[in-house]
Formats: sequence, C-alpha cells, structure tokens
Amino acid sequence: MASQALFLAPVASELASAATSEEDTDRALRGDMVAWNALIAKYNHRVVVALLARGVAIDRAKDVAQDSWIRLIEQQRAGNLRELKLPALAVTQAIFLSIDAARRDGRERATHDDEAEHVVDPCPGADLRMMSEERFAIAERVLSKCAPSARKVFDLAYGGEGLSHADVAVRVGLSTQRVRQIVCEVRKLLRAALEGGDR
Amino acid sequence: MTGEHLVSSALEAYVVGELDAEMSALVESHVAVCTGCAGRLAGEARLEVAFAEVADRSVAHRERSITRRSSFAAGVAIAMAASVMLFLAPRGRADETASPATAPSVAFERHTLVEADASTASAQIEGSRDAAMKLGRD
Repeated sequence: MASQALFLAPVASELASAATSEEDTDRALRGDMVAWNALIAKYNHRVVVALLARGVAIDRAKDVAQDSWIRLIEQQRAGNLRELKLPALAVTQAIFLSIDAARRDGRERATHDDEAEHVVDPCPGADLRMMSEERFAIAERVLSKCAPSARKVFDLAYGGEGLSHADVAVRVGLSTQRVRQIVCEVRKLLRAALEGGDR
Repeated sequence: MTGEHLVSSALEAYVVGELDAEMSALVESHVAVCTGCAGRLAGEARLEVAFAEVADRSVAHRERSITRRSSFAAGVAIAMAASVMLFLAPRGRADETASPATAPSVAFERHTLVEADASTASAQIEGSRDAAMKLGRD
C-alpha cells in the first residue's frame, strides 16, 4: 500500500512546475526575461515539432522557432502583446515566419499559399488544421472508448496549452510515470486508428 | 538507433520530447543528413500535431455539446414552468372572472348573516325569556 501511495502521489517538484507556468506567462507579459526563458524552455520543442510536421528541415525549424520567440519578445516590448497563449501563439508565429521565408526563397509556394490565410488567425488550433473531418471522427471514436480519466489525461497533455506530463500529473492527482503510461497507451490506439485510416 | 537509420521509437521519443539533450542532438544530426529519417520524423511530427488537434477539437466538441445540453435542459425547465403556470392560471382566472370582488364580500355577508341569525336568535330567546318572566309575574 505504501509503495502504491508513493507511486500515485505527485511530488513537490511537480506541484511547483504547475504553479510556475501561469506565473511565468504573467511575468513574461511584464517583460521579465527569466520568465521568457522559462517559457521558451518549456514550449520551444513544440514549436519545432509543428514546423517539422509542415515539412520544414530540422536545422531551419530550430532557427525559425528561435526567430519566432524573438519576434514575440519584440512584440511584448512594443506593447503589442496583451495576452500570451502558449504554445499556440509561438506556433502561429513560427509557421508565419516559415511561410514568409519559403516565399522569399521562392520555394514550396503551392504547399503553403493555402495555409497563409489560416496562419494569420490567432485562435489556438486554427494554425494547424491538418486533419480531415473523417480522420477526426475516427479519432473521436477511439477516444470515446477510452476511460474518462485517460481521456482527461490526453486532453490535458495535448489540448490547449499542452501541459507537460508533470503538470498533467498534478492536475489529475497521478504520478508523472502513470500519466506518461496513459498518454503512451492513448497515442498507440490513436496511431493505429489514424494510420489505419490512411491506408 | 541502428547504424544507418533511426529506429521508430527514437523518432517518437524525440517528437514527444522525452529525449535528453545529448540524444536529441544525435537525432537532429542524423536527420539533417538522412532524408529517409527526416521524412519519417516529419511523419511522427504530423501525428503529434494531429493528436494535439484531436484533443483541441474534442474538448471544443464536448464544450459545445455541454452548452447544447444545458440549453436543452433550460428549455425543458422553462417549458415545464410555463405549463405549470398555464395549468394553474386558468383556474385562478375562472374564479376571478366568476366573482372578482364578490367572493370575500359574500363570505363576509354570510358571516354577518350567521352573526345576524345568531343575534336574532339570542334576541328571540331573550325576548321569549322576558315574556315568560312577565307571564310568571303576571
């Protein structure tokens, strides 16, 4: 029993991690560079992955991600940033920059031109519409078969701000290890369903 | 990782962000020179982005259905309240239309009538008692 309790209880560092996220956002909006660095450390990888998903090469993706953070900081300093919805805003900025760069290079016009309209929409999620309704229905069916707790973990890990496994663990009262396990299981189910749908 | 290409689990771990800095650097340096693995990494990244989209849309979808369900519940509650009012209202109105202001006065009149009857009766008793006493005296 004691080992089970130890396994499920969130540790102090996990609790601290969840508390700092919103604080960092507020402080970043006030121009605190330490907070900006913390947010970049937390979300930069998601920005890079979003660019990789759009076929941007790894080196370029990392550069563009870096540029997008610089742009956001500049926007904040100029007083143009009233709210900071991350990682969606950084992803949107990065995709915009990558399209801009591709246009300048005269590459991939046909692929990205259609997406440009979506990129200027600042709504979270509107920047990465890559799924058809059919595939979404397949994914929904898979998720509806999952336990509510597993679904909640998946939504927290992937939806909205995209919490880290440690932050999800704090929200749902499980250990980080258990959250990782649940995310892995749901991913496996979704992958099988979505890749099966592709065939 | 194999000698020539990255294994799928390494690509997946990279995309999920579970690799440490050293392993991430290894994946990145390989993918930078291997178009095959770069393509597979892009595929993994697309899947990751799709998962995020599924979560976003599914949350939004559920929020919409919760709103729809609450609107439906509110509608049902309003309809029930309205039907209860309609059920009760005609009765009240019928009474009111039958005798809008007379009902209380009728009751009052009845009450006074009873009182009058009682006083009349007691007066009659008193009267008959006086008469009997008179007769007795006489």
